[in-house]
Amino acid sequence: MNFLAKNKLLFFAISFVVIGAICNFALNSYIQALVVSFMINAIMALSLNFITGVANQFSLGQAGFMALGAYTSAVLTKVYFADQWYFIPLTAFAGALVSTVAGYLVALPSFKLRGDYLAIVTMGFAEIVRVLFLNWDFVGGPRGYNGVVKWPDFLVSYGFTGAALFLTFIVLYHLKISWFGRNLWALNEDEIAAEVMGTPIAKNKRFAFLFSSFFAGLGGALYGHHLGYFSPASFGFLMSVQILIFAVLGGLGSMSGSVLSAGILTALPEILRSLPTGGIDIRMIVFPILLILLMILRPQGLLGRKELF
Amino acid sequence: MGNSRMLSVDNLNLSFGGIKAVDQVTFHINEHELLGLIGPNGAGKTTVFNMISGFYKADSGTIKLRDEVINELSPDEVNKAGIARTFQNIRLFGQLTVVENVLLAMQQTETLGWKESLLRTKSYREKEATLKAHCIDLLKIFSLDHLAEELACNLPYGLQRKLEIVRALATKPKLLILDEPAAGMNHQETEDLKKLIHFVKQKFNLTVLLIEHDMKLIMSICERIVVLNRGVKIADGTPAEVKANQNVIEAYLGKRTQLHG
Amino acid sequence: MQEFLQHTLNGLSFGSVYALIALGYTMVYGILAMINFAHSDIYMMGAFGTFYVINFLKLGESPNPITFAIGLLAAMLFSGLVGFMVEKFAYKPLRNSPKMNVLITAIGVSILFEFGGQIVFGVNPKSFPQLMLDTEVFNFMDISVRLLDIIIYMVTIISLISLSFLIGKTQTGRAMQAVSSRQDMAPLMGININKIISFTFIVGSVLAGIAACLVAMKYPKIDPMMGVKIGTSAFVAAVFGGIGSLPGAVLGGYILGLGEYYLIGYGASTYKEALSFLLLILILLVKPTGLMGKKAKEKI
Repeated sequence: MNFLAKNKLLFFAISFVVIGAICNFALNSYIQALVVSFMINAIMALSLNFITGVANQFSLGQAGFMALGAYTSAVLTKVYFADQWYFIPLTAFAGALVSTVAGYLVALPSFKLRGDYLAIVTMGFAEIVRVLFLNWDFVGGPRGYNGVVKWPDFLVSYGFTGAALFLTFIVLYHLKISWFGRNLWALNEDEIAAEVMGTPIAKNKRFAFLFSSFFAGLGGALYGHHLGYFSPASFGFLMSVQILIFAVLGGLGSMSGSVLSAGILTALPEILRSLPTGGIDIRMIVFPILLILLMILRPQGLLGRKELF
Repeated sequence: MGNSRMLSVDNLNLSFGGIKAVDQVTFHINEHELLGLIGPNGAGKTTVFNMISGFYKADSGTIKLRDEVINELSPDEVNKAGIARTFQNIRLFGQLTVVENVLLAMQQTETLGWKESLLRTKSYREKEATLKAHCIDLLKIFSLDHLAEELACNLPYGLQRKLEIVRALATKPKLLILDEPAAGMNHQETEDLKKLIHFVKQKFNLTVLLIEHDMKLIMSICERIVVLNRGVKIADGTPAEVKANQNVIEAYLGKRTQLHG
Repeated sequence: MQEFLQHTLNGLSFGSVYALIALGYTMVYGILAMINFAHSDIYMMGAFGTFYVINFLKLGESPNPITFAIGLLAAMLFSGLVGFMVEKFAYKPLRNSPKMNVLITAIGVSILFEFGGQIVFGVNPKSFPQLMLDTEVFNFMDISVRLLDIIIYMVTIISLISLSFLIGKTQTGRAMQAVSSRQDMAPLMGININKIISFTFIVGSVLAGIAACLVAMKYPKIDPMMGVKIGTSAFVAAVFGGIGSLPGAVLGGYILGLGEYYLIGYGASTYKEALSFLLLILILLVKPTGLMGKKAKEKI
């Protein structure tokens, strides 16, 4: 159960370096970009999995947190740091913090709302964020934000995004198996019983939201710096749904499952790219079918709540 | 009197949409007493109970645990103040193991820390291991330790009841409230339960409030009984006194009938 | 004043449409306690139903009441059929699953319709055939009352009356009420729950189909995403009125329709979508049961 055990850590570090080296020297930039995309997707999937899988609070608003992180980090690098890439870790952190503040605001009333209604409120939150950016000329309004500073080369991008993924994973996984995760799991099973045992409902849910929104913001910031461009439309409802699919396929409650499914679902559309769809994004066909079939045939996803190790 | 009071309920009132569910109810529980709260269906005992445990807020009146007013507290705060309860329709965390159920309750009184759990430091792991050992010890007292790693939902009914009591005890209460613990039990199980309640009360030096339908059980183990009917308290005394009380007999069985049990 | 009245007339048209769609959301919620995300797409399918039937019959050039009747029926039929299929194939297998799974499925179904629709129907908006000529019926102090608006009012009123007759006076309607108030008890009274749920979906979907035909007549461009915005507004209307309550859905629909039209009429239209969500969040926080919803108390 202890992920930070030395031999495991060493194994992951070595495989991380080896994969990085292979990508850098043996593969083209298209695959390289895909690898970074995978890691960002995994961060987003983890952030959602924590709030929805572990804390059982259905969020359809991850794209909203993502947008806050992306815009904050992009604006800060441009305005205060003259678009120097080495400030990205700092601004990404700031983006994550802004997202956390929003997460706190969303979480304040959320303990009153259950299930569907919370989903609708978080979806509404993301929509409000999107419309605000749409109407904000400084960041390009509907045309989107052009010229976000990018990482200088693949290895730097790979290293920093990988570090962010590692941080996300370690923090959320450790929370899951700690007293806090147990509180959330109990709340998720029977709120009333948990409350009677002295578990403060609102406080636990709020904290779960804080962690989730922090990492969603971080993922959003990295998304922006990876692509160099985004617009309010990038962070619409469909983005939230994509993130949901990542988390559901891996198994709600399984942290390693989210990473695994982010890998599968980042690669799958590329494999299916050749199918004739008349210019429609193939993901928007494959993902919903996958989602429906999963819910009917294997609702617990690939791993359920279990971990790979 | 002489005894110091564990719980005092004073002039409690609560209406739901114009209907008085609880009307000027006053009673108290002495330190280390086993008090029974009974009444026919719709008498308001569950409502009183839910007010004590913090789920409903009284329209007026006070509830005090020793000297602390608790009727404005939320259920988790009520628990922290020292009241633990079980549920009529058992509410265990079915997908958690037996020991995790107890651990969940016990960890609420401990500070395990954020930073330590994020980094999963050695000290955190040790603390958690110690806590788990305490839980096992507690389970051992009730001979449940061999089932520690079973999922709670896989336990037979009687043991689930028992585990629920253990879980309540893990929060280190001063007052334990049992909500119809004999519901769905056969004769033998009820006898065992009786022993269990006595045992728990002695072993953990507890005050117990028992809410029950089973007259036999309540008459045989309670030191004092409070009877509610239609939201009003109609009797308060020893089992013998209550059994002879004309109001109680009428409330339960209509006029001129003897109360069994 | 004249401007205000004009906005009111338009708002009432939109309110009617919202009411018809909101009824579908609220009926399904009442019976299954789920938000049918795909309802807006069932609505969209109704408009395409009319489109293909009218074009197939080559009636696009002859706007008259018969064409209108055929078009309306086609929309009702298509939406009803789609609603029936969605329930049967996507939701029914999940009858005993956690609510979250059903909601996830509903989202999947919705997206599949929207993007699958783009493949089948094409991405570009299609011109909806003219079913009736939109003449000006009368003009009073510069307030123009057009035929289409009157049709919308009339069709809505007839639909609402039929619905209340169906629910209040027929055997099936009473069974629907029974299932929605006590799903566990209904089978004891000999009610086939699955049939009733299926029927409820069909009725809700048919209402959405009616709405789709009316909207497409007024704004004759249809595309696979046409249900998204209007569906959101109608959903807000249903929650505002008190989800699960039929009169609430109608009331919420009209309030929202009028409110939105005044908002657009007096500026602030770029924030429109965000505002309906803001309204929704406020309702949920202040009075989650809406205007006419009932509060359920959890048993402890």
